[in-house]
Amino acid sequence: MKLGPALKRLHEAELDLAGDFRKIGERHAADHDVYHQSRTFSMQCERHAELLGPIADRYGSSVSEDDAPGLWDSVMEAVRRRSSAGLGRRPVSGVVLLRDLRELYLAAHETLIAWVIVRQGAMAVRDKELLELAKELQRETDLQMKWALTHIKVSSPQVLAS
Amino acid sequence: MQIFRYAEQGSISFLWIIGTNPAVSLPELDRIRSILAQDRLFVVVSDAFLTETGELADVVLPTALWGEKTGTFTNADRTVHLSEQAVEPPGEARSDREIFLDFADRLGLEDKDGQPLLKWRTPEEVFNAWRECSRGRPCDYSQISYDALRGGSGIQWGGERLYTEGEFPTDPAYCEDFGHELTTGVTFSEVEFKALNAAGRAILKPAPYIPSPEEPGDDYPLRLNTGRTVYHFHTRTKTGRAPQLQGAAPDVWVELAQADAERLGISDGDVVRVESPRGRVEGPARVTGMREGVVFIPFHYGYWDRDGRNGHDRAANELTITLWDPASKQPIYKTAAVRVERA
Repeated sequence: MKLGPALKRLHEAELDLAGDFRKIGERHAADHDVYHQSRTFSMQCERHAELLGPIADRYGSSVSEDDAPGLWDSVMEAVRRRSSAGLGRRPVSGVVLLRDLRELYLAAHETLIAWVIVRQGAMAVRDKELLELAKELQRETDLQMKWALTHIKVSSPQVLAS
Repeated sequence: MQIFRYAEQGSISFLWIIGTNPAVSLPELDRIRSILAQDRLFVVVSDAFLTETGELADVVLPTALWGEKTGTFTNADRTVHLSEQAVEPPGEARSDREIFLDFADRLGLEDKDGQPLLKWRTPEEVFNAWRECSRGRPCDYSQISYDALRGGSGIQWGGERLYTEGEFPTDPAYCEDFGHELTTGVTFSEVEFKALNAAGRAILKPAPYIPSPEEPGDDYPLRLNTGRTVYHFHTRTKTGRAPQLQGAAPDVWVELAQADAERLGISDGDVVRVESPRGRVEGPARVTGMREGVVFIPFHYGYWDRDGRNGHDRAANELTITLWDPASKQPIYKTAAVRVERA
């Protein structure tokens, strides 16, 4: 059975996406709505990964637990927030925002595909617990993706026409 | 809020603020002032009095108030009122309509036939243009006219009751937009909206509880709530100049719960300082029966009527946070983390 590796892949995708939301949110701290929503989504992704951990274990693909942010991460976090204050006053910040939102959209889409695969697998092996979880969390990933797209639509006119 | 973000970023360079006072009414005033004060942003303010926002403007256009101009206004309960001019506006003041028309004329706005783009001139012509614009749409003013409005005290658009047959404007071909997810502001597509198959039924949207982005903690242990007093409207541009109203509520105060005041050694009437990560406010304490852990400050008070005192420590929005509801875009005025001490 290959459900274990698929779960591990999904777990990684969630952690990557959590990091993307955190980093990109901090880079755009002057866009307050982007910053706060990204932080919320980042925590949502971390929760997804936490819930997936024991299930991946159950399917024989253990996920390492030493992914907590270390000292270097918190230093980088402060640097990103500080530099975003300077960037936030420059017109180019809009272009950077568009680029970053595009990256988030693609990363969320990647995670969503990993969910679709796991969900289909859960159905095949009749794992009701995983199926219920997948249904609930996939909806959140879908919303994360659509949020990025909504923001791309909202931001593009002002960035491109100004 | 988004417009101010664009102005901060430099992608808006001309801002015309009409009859509103963001330098007191928006969150995080230090940020708002620094945006309005930028050299690269040209700010025009239209208002009847010189507001805190007007002080930061490059050009101020004095405008007529109600009673000095004719026009309609609509209450939150859909009632349309006609307000007729009683006196001439003072000095150089003109109505917003006259200013807009003058601006359009100076810009030389024309239609494809070389005629003036705006066909309306008088208040009644403006209203009639709006009647046509709204005809057959969910907010339909076409049944209301100046003549009808002169016959009574006010008329509700859509009649006294809406949706009496249980029929709501959710037909995809008729509705104004396809709506949003409430926690993220994600817009629904036409396809998603059609899949709801509302077919004239109302759409009720659930949303889970989401904690505030700034919860009270060690440094700022109390929760700030801002709001109103019955004696003033918004930033007191008019009510602060009505002696009876001004006399009833002349200055800012800080409302505290009994238990919090005791713990902080504060008695009723003591001058206290309230600080958030963004600014501070000073005012006399009022110890009341409000909920423990919460501080209340009315947001009406700014700086135009301070006698000789300097510093930005009177407006409640010095303290509030720059963030808004993703669907309604309403700023978050009702929660921010603060600390309180005797001044």
